[in-house]
Amino acid sequence: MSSVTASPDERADAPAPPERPTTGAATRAGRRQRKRRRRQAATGATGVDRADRLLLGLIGLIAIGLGTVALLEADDRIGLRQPRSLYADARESAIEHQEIWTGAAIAAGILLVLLGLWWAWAQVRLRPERGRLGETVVARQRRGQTSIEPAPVARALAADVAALDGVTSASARLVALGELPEVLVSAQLEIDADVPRVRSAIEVPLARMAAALGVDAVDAELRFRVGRTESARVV
Amino acid sequence: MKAVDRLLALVAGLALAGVGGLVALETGFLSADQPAVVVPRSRWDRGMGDLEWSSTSLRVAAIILVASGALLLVLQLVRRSPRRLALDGGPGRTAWITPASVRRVVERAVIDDNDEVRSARARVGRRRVRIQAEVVAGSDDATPRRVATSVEEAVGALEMHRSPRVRVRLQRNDGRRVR
Repeated sequence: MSSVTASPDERADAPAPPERPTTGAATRAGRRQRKRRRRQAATGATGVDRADRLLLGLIGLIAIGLGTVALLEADDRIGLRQPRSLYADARESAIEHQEIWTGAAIAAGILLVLLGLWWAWAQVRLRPERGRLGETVVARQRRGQTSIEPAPVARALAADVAALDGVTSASARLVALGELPEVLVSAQLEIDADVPRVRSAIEVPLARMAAALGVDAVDAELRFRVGRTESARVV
Repeated sequence: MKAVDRLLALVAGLALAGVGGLVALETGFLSADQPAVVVPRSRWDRGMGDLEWSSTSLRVAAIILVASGALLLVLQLVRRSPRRLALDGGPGRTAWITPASVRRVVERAVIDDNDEVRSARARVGRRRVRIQAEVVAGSDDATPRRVATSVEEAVGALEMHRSPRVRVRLQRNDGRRVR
């Protein structure tokens, strides 16, 4: 793929994104996945982050509830039995039904250990970078197969995008291959760049990439930064 | 904020695992008539047997519980600033711009389009762009409207998926606020 520069006038000539198929379970699943990715791109929050927020909020609520009950009861406002009396009953019951209580306590303890370790592990484990593709087989027949190394394709696309008017630097990463490849493009624009025009102009290199891959179209996520001098990178 | 949550979740997860392990271990030892490993059983037993709602220790623990719970809840409820803002896309296209980019575009537009503006500072959120600018003493009543128009035009030119509302606050360089 060679570089291409799209002038403002070429905006009208830039190919419109092709129509996407609208039926089938695979398409619906793809739509759901894209929606999820969009939400994630907007907030930068992963599923773990959302789960953390929910669980920590829940812990906060429980703490407030327990503390409030204890404080109200300290002034005798609810009418609960005294803790010593509750404890005495629980103790008596535990002695009476020792097997059940022992089993339940050990099971609950083990469950807590597993849940706690799973939660802690989710915070520290390294997550694979989204959709980092290696060499991918795109067609397989009896006599052989066709595979694509995504990095050079992405580099060529990035070079094409970086050559557009208003773009100071660009990077690209293929995140899906196959019938409908998907690419993530990050572009650093000049402060006075016409963002919609650059967005339209990117259709030219995208169409070129689609032709190089032998597909009708590619899906693209475009990320723009305006007015900074650092080089763009896909984040 | 995400990093704080991660750290809190890590600590909470490890604490949960620790408490669970202690419960399972101590219960196992207790049922096997073995001495306790960590928990001072007889002291805790005596303490629990004397505990009343009005005990100072319980009251202090309750206050700490409410305060830390409220802090935790507020931390989770605070709306986080967006990492990216959506631009109008199309079939098979999603486009994003960073809030900092919008801020730079807006600040530049306000200063370039209005001679009376000496400096401008923008804050960009999901739904709102706030601009705070300093104008020269000779600015007139129409200045706020002109600045707002500059911001609206600059934001409109980006073709964002959701057009943010614009709020302008101007201050003259002699310290007086422009209304």
